[in-house]
Amino acid sequence: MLRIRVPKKVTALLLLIAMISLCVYSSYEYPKNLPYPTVDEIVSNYQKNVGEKISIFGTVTRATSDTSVVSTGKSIFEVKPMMAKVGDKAEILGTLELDYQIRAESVLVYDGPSYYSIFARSLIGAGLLILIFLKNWKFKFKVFKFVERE
Amino acid sequence: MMVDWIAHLLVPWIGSKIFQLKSSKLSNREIPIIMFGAVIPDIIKINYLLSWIEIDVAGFLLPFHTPVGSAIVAAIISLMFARRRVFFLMIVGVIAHFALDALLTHVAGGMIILFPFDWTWGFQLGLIPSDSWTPTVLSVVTAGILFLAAKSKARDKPSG
Repeated sequence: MLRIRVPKKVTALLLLIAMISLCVYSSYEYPKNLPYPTVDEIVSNYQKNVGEKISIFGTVTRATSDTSVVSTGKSIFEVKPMMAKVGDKAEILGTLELDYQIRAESVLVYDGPSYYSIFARSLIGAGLLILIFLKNWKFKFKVFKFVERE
Repeated sequence: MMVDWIAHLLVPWIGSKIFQLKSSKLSNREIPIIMFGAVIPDIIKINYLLSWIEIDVAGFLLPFHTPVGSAIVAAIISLMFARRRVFFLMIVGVIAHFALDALLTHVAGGMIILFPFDWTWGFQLGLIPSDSWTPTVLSVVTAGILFLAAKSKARDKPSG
């Protein structure tokens, strides 16, 4: 059987080209294929999006018994009904109404410290991975390869 | 949003250790490779760091959190190893990553599994919120038990 051996450098180059192509394709198609308009789209064309279903993620900056004000970093929305406390993070799915108001259909609230703990836990995980990986493997620049530790 | 890396790393570690207890086809050195593969899809999280300086490249980085993109990255990294099966070990980690992320709940969106062939969003089972400690605690406890079991098995093995 005929076997073609492709040099590793060529394989690496082809794979890199494939990955970069996917990323470029995705960056063009992503906004068109999002299930809901982005905050940028909402802000730049507000009237067109009134009555549309939207999804936002942000931080609660003000809260009353049934209404919360959520900042996405780019804009501020008043969401009701929504129970949360200042500092909470929230995912909201709802209908956009006039004056940056959202009638919420589904809300997911994360307690502020609990949300940030995901990243703290991940940092611990990253440290663990580096430790375990480098205990078993080392990088040899001369051959540009990971080799097993003695 | 994401499952934290403690769970993402320990779940494949647990799977590998169970496999190792049953079979000798997996060496200790290969387990960190599976764990490495398990965080490849989270390269997309670079966007969190960039968003702090108001750069949004979510669209550009999206392919990293898809099976096709993660497989390409795993293939590139595996070229830096002499062993051929490194690629397959990394793919096992990648699969573990998507399996865990599929448990998450979101109000909208979810994963996009069939990219670049299809842009359907929403591959999620909606079982646990992103900030849940359940996967972390469960994986730490199970890993601890397995660690002790593996140590005990190694001690019981006749030497020589």
